[in-house]
Amino acid sequence: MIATQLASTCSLEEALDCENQHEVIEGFMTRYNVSQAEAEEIFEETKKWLWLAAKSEESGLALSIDKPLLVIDEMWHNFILYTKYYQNYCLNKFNKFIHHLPTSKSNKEAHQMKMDENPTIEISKWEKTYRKQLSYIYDELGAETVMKWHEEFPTKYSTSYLNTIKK
Amino acid sequence: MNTSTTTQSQNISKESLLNTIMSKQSVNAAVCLSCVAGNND
Repeated sequence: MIATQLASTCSLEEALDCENQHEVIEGFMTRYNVSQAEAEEIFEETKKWLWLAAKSEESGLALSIDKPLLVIDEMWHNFILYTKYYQNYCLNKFNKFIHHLPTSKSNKEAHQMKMDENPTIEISKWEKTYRKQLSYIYDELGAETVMKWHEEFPTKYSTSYLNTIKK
Repeated sequence: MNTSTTTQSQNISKESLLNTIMSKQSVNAAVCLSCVAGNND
């Protein structure tokens, strides 16, 4: 019973097949000034990220989204607006709900305080965690995805650019 | 021999890519965590 639950994440191919995705993509286009092709690509990468997040839990790894993955985070927010589709997607593909947990202001302040107190230790911790996540992305999705998420997307969809295309 | 060489090449490629990306990230990334995927069962 427990083993069945643990091995519940679908294949990547299955995760990319999302019912009602045209509505989610259209929704993103009503909120951001992007082309259909751009919105489709961002949603494709978001589904990959959700699949990886579900899969990573089985390995005891909690994935986090940081600045380079901002556009994926924005698409994730957009997907969550369609509560029924999002819930069905998570339960059908992963047999569990993938929660979205924004970092609170107090958590950020607490982290910043630690950084100010002992930057060497905190930077070292961050490097270890960040490398572990990058390594996991590389192992599961390959170099192309690592480059798209951490080089192409942050260059193309910077914070300032996202603000200018937000409707 | 070929297998070993291929594996080594892939490892170098991975390490090289990760190092390149790590070198471009500032410590700000550590304080810009926005979301964490999780399953609160």
